[in-house]
Amino acid sequence: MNQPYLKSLKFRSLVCFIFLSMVFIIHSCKKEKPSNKTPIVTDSQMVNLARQWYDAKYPGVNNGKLTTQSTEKSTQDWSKAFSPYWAEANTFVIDSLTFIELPALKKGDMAMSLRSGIDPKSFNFSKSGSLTSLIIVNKNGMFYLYAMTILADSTYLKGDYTRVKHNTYRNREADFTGEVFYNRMDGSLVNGWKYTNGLITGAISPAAAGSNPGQVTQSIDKKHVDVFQETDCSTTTTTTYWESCDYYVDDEFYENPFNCSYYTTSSSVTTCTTITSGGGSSAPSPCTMPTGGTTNPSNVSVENTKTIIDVAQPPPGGGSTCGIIDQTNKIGTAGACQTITNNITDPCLKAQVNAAISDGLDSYTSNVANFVFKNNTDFDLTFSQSTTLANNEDGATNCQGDPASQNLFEADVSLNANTMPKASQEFIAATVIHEILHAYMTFSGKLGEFNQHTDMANNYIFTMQKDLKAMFPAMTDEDAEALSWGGLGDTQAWADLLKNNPTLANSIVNINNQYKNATGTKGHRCS
Amino acid sequence: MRQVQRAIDVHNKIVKLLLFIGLLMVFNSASAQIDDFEFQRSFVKIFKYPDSLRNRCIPTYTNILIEVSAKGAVQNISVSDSAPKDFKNSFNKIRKSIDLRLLDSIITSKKLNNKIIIPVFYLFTPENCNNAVASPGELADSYYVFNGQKLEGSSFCLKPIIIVMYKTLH
Repeated sequence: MNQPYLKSLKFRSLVCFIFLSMVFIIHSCKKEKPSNKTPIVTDSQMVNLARQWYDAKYPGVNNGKLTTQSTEKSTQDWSKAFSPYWAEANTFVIDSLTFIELPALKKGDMAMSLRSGIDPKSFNFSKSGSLTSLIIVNKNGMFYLYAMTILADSTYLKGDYTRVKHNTYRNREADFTGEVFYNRMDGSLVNGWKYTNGLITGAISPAAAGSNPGQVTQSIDKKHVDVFQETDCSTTTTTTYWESCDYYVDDEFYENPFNCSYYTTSSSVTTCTTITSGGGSSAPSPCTMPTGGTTNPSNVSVENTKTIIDVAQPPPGGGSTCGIIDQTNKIGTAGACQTITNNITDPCLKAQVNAAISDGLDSYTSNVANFVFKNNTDFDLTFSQSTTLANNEDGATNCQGDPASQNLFEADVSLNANTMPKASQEFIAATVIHEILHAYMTFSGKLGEFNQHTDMANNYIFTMQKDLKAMFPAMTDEDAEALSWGGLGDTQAWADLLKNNPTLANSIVNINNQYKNATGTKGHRCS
Repeated sequence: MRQVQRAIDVHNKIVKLLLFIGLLMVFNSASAQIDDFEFQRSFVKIFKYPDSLRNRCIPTYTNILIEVSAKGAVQNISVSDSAPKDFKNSFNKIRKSIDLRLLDSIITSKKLNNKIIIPVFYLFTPENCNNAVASPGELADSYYVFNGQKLEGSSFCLKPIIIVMYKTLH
């Protein structure tokens, strides 16, 4: 019997099999080719996988069969309130983990606020300064979903409520002031960061049970690299305002809400800030979470848990970023490997290096050291002492690597072991600051000693002066400025100063000599 | 009709099987993400370019050869004869400290059982030195020669190590 249908089926099966076999073979061959980024899974494949995982994990969020889709008035299931806008997925890799950042499609609206007591019906969501996105993290093939809420301060927004959108998981604007919260889909807070002018000034964690809003605790006199630190933690209440609406099932982007209701949820969070004896209030170690809570101040530590940060825009050229630190899923917790090494054996030199790069110091160079080098395993900064430097060379910096294309960079700072131990602590510190700036400028792509010295003379004298004063608060502005000019004698700016104001230039030279020479009368010497 | 139905069933089973294999491939590839620069990164961290070469503006163009047994175990690691003597000496000093375990995931996933080659370039930035090669002919002759033995057979190439060295700053 003639069975054309059967023939057709066999033929189609065969074609299908051959086609898939070819795909399989091509796919297998492709895997052998090394590539620059993620060799096996492309960004779009990763997004597709994440989408498959999401659809399986949160079924029915997008594809109900009712004539309308209704949002449950649940206070603790954020997955019902948000869904990922897959078309605008942004994929990137940090520390071998793949991150997918997606705008959140909201069924209604949601905004976090530090202000409570507002009637949620009258809350103005469009002027909240709050923006929530979704972050999917792939770790070893497993996916984890978080909500990232950026809450911008009015001093940053200056009435422009669209500015909050300029900030993403990886990049904060250089002057961003506000908070960033990371929540799980059950609404629980994972962690967060407080920012002031693009720099992290506080680590946010869930408040310990029993702590009250407004409660302030301190961990005092914690000695850390020869500088006394004080960690202040305060508990505040964050209010989340919700607008919950129904939508027609074909309203894919939730554009036509109806039947809306309004309510609030709140959570207590603890924000910890470290104050160092050398300067004013500043951040705890960047990307460092306090391990304690407000209930046990003695356990508040800024040393134990560290993560690697993305330094796409190190300060001050752009804001620094710190991300999710989820101890449960071990995400963002792999940064225990710190990459600043102090190999100096002379105790006086060693102490000044430690002080200059101290975590909590309110100084530009300390921030550079910590943001760029300490918290990124691929960028190393090593300090050592050298007996081969000429007597007029206080320090030297050797750099190698390629941060742009190979994500590798090493800077070796050597201090002159013959001359520097006799100098004052202030002079040693000024030299360390100068060399760290060399390392950072090279890292940033500004090459050549003359170029860097010119940049320092034109743009960094005040910064170096401020950094020295952060380490030595009793030092006069005049002395701090004079030490900041150290090593910049080859610049046009110095030549101009000599020509236009020789008295000041001579004074700067004299002050430097007073701080540097063993018999000098200025500054503090170790012996 | 029964034959038709059976054919349809077979067809459906084949399609399901192929779909399953396809999904398995995709999921497998997601879970098998491998950092193909982990070993190189580790090497760069422990290897210090000799001052004797750096101070004389001598760059290095060489290859690291990793010999892998039929069972996938690393048996030997060496640099090609194009490396300057001081480079080889420095390499040999840290040879035992090189973390070969970082190659395991690549060896396993690629089922490697012969040789791995990692090109290595230590170069100077233009404002530092000019990266001149004293004898291009010698470099060409020794670039794929390891301890006098010319590289033969198939080998798997990993991402190169390219380190640029900046001028010393004061």
